[in-house]
Amino acid sequence: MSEILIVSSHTPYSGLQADDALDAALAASNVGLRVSVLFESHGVFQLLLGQQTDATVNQLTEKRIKALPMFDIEDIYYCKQSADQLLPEESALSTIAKPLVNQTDIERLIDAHQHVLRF
Amino acid sequence: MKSFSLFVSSPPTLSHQCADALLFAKQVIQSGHQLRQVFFYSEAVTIAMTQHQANNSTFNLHKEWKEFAEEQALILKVCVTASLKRGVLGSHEAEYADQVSNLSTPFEQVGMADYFAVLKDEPDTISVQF
Amino acid sequence: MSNVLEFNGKQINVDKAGYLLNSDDWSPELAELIAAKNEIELTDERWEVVNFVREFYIEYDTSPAIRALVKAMSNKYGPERGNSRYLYRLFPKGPAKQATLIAGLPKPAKCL
Repeated sequence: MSEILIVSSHTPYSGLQADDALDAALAASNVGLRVSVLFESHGVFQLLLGQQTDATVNQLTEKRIKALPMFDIEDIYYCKQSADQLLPEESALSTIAKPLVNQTDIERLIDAHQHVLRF
Repeated sequence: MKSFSLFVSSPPTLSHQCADALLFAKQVIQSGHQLRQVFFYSEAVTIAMTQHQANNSTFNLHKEWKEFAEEQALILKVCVTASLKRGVLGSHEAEYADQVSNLSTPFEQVGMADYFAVLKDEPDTISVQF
Repeated sequence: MSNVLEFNGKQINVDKAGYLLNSDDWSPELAELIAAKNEIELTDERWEVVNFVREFYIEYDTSPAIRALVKAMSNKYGPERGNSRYLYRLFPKGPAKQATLIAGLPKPAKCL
């Protein structure tokens, strides 16, 4: 089965990139592709818990990420180095995403997929 | 002969990527490979807007893509969800919203499923993102 | 873009397909009206799906597409109701489309 890795590298609520990445993941899964998602660089901010909306936000990224398994997407990862560098210490992160600790783990993840899309 | 699926998602006015995508597309054809599909997403959907104006001496990305696609009898797929958010409307969407359409052939609004279905059904296609 | 639904002396704004423009306008009584306009009788079974779709939206900020709807229904109610045959029997024109319409939710994303 063809596999696709969606890499999400932008903060949520700072433009459409985070939403575009999630939309792509859902659409790919919906046609039967096996989809993995990696949050890296500033994308790790999407995993912070306790997000709240204001009138400028249509959808809470936190909730959309929680919905991924409903759309058959369960291979969800984040780059631990990015999280350590960019997020405040002791940040509560969505447990849906598993940490990848080494650069080689990330390289292996990329190698394991036929297609990669980066947002 | 290889099959290529192009995914164009870079902001057209912030880098050379969308022009590079066109150069790559032309190279695929010239090298005797198959350009299986071209799909525009994120900010790149604005390339489809009919009203792009440039004086004659300026490279016009919309016009260049349009002419290339017409030569190749290729449909340029534009993600409908990404388009709507950015004010790009084909005739069907324009009618629904009581707006004027600003997207026409060879550009065509499709769901993202269209792009991914090819990846699923044709495991040999090589996807390249710009 | 704006059409209007007359309801209890109020003018409710909807889009061309009949989706509410403001989800705060929704009420169970309005749901009955929308269903009637679409020639659907809201039985208990159909109400269960409509309410379920509203819960899904509250939890995930997303209107479910059919696959997600089937999976989520199956998780909660088991495979007897969590399957597309059951859902299509209740909403022949498309369960995700019709249930979200009656539930006052945003139209499901075109790309799904």
